[in-house]
Amino acid sequence: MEIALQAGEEEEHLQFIRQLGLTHVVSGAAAAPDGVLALDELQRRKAYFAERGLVWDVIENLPPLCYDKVMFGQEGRDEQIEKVCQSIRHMGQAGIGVLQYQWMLLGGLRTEYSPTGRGGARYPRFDLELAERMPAACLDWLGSGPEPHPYPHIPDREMDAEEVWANLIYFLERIVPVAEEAGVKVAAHPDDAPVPSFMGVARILIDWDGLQRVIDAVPSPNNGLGFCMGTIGTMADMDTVKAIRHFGGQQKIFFAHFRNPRGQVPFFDEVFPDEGDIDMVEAVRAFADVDYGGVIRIDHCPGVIGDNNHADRSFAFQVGYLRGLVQTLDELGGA
Amino acid sequence: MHIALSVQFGRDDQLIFAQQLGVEHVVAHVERRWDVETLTALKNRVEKTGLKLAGVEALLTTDTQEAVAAVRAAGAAGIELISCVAGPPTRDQRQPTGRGGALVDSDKTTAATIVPQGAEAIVEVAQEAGVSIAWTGKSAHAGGGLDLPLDRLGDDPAAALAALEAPVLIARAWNRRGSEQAFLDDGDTKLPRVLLALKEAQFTGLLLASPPPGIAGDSEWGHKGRAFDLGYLKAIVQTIQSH
Repeated sequence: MEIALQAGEEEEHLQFIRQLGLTHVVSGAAAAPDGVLALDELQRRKAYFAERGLVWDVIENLPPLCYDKVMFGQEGRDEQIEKVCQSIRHMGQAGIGVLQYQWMLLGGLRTEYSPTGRGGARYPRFDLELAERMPAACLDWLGSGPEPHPYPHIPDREMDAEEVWANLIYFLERIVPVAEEAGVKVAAHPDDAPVPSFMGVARILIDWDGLQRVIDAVPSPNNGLGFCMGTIGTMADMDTVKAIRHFGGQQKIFFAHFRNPRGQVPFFDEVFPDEGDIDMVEAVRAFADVDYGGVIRIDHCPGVIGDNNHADRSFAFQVGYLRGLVQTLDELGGA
Repeated sequence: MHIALSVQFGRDDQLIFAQQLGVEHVVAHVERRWDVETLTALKNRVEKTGLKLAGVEALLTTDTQEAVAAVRAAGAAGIELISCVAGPPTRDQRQPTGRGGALVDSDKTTAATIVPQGAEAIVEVAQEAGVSIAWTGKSAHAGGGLDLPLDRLGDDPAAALAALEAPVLIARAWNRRGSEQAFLDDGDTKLPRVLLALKEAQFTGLLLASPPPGIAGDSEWGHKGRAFDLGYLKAIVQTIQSH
């Protein structure tokens, strides 16, 4: 299991990452104006990280504007799918092995950045009751891009779960064979927050059955999950450790997020990893037991006093925490 | 054992930082003003934050009378533990030869005890005042207990702990690679093994990380490095306690 942080190309941040003892980074990739992840840019970025002693093997995420028409079943989706396939071929040529994508038609949902954590630390929070009172304000990414912002947008019609599933399966049936040829694994990130629908639009990767269904819909060694511990841990009645053993045991965890929430839908906080509801010792033991050898990225983190825009202090705590779990379980003979 | 954070005198933001990262005990680094009024104010400020002032460091005078007065003042202020271990070298003495170019220092500059003349007399006063004194190495023979750098325990920490002639009051998490400082997770000492030995020895004192290597863009005090250390130690302690 390779611990990683999200990174761009800022030298000081990359040095910080190396100093924490990490050898892997996770990074996004911007599409070229034609909607394709350009081969020369992927190769350049891969080399940039390599020159600094870091491995980049996961793209997080496929930019949603590369496939928003597919998610909504709109005209033009086949052209988008062809470009996604071209992007996957480019990833294979550049030696980048995992493409995480999400199928959240309205993006992520949060209601607060609440200073109610220990010592006044700020915890990202989701409260369904509050969300239903002011739904548009909960769309995590609304207004974060160019105007008019095409994705995510406030929905103009209702979409039920089977329509959303049909669009996802249509997508996977076309990209997974290409991923197999290219040697790239495609990893579905679950819906965060995992509520069944929002503003009349279904969210489908919200429970155990949904995670299994996306795997089974297009059986392939290259079709699997981006196992976000935080999101999965907030699914109603979910046992995250059991889920690691179940999906990891099928070798369907291609990429993982390390995060510990407190609570499950309809209300949860993202807290420090040592104080959440998931037994992180058992979770790391489970990853070891299923021989998970992929990248695990430290995910969202609480806001700590005086931190910078990368939240280095908060992330450093979490990297140290995960390293401590791994080394101690190793010492005890359990990882 | 209690994970503690060493904080600078007067830096209230460091108390909040400690609390946010899950620490309940702090040790305040006091360089001057070892008088009752100052130490009482310090204790009050820590406790108003919701933390416990588990001790103060670093009493470094070689003057017996000055040391005795400081110990009496601490006792009157309700402070139960004084460490006499020297603080870290200043950052400009460090070299960028650690992991990823981190600033590190050489082992010889760390963990020295300044032993005042008449250490036995100081311990006697401390006992009267209800204060424990923590030293490093042979100084503990004067009485009190150990402020123990954990990299000194070798490959068999359980045996090394059993051979100690004084109780451990502070377990000082520290690591090195050869003679050079290293990150806690990356040196010659396997801290999970050491902390497991401490747990099995029923250690109930403070687990305190030494100042970390200098990290890119970090503050002078080393917030990022200390956060990494606290997360690392927290995970080890949680894991061995659930074992």
